[in-house]
Amino acid sequence: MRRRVHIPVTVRAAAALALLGGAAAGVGSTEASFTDAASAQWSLHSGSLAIAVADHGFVLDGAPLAPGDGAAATVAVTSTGTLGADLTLTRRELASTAPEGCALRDALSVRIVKDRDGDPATVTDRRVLFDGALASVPERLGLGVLAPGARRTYEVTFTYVAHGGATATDNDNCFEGSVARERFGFDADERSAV
Amino acid sequence: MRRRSVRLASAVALLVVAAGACGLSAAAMHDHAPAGTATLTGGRLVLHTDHAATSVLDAGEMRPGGHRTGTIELRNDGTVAATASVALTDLADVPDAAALAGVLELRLEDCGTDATCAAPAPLYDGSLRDFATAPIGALPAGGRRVVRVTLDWGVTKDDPSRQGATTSGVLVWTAVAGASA
Repeated sequence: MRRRVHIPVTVRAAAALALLGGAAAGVGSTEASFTDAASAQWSLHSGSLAIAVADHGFVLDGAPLAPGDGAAATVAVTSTGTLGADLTLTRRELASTAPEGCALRDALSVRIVKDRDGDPATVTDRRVLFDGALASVPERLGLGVLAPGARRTYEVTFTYVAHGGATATDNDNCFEGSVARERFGFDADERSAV
Repeated sequence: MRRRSVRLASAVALLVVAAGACGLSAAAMHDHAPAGTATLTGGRLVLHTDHAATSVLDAGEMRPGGHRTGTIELRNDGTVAATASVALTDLADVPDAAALAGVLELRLEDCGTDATCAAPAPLYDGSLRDFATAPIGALPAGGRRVVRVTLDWGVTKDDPSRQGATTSGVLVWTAVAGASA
């Protein structure tokens, strides 16, 4: 004999829901709606841009010059930051004198050489950045990119260029006693703003 | 979904605040360091002699066999090294026919810094007429140099027609500093 028990569908569904409810309660869920969460953790480190000049730069204050004489100084700059920088050599004219009527500044030429390893003996790494009259040196001379941790050496050479001859009437005597003062600096600028 | 949107918005807000705090703004970073200062001074050249505008020697009343000598001190009172030389200008014989300058022998000697000129070095030795210029040598800043000047009238050059004759000239002492020196 076969017996058939007909369970109403509605009852089955209720039972199923009851079972689901028990399972859900077993994992701690509530009657709340579905939830989800996403998070992202950020750690920001600002870069730094800094340069340091060895020995606080050069001080060129040597013996008085005669026509043809020269004076030279070397300065090394190092990037102590973590960002690359656009390096610029700045020049500022300071007070000068011309007691005999001619300014020594007008008779000076400047030669600026980049010496990558700082050793004048190795000539292959030397590059002339400027060579001409002091008056024509731009107030800002681009030196290129200075990478983090990089060090560069620059030579600055001044030459008193003779204008006149060596006779009583054709000479450079009007430059006697004239004093020319210049201040140089390095500017490091961030290569590109964020 | 609504909560997720809120959380993302909060994260963006935090990023903006963090960026502002660490300087990531439109302003770029910058640093400056002094490279150095240069003070360049034009030197001075001042040649001083102890016979400025006066004769190095008294050659008056000379006669055949006569001899006159004197010294001159050249001093560089300037601040740059120089090279000294001497030249003769404005040589004139009176009367011309006497040609006394052709008779007199001029001797110039470098005594170094020794005023007694114990060990002279010859600069010129020959006819006064033929002398034009002679280098003396280096004259450092603050340094000095003594030059002995001698005139000789040879004893055999005794032509009586030269009596009363005169010869005159100017010894020009020059110091040059710099590339031209």
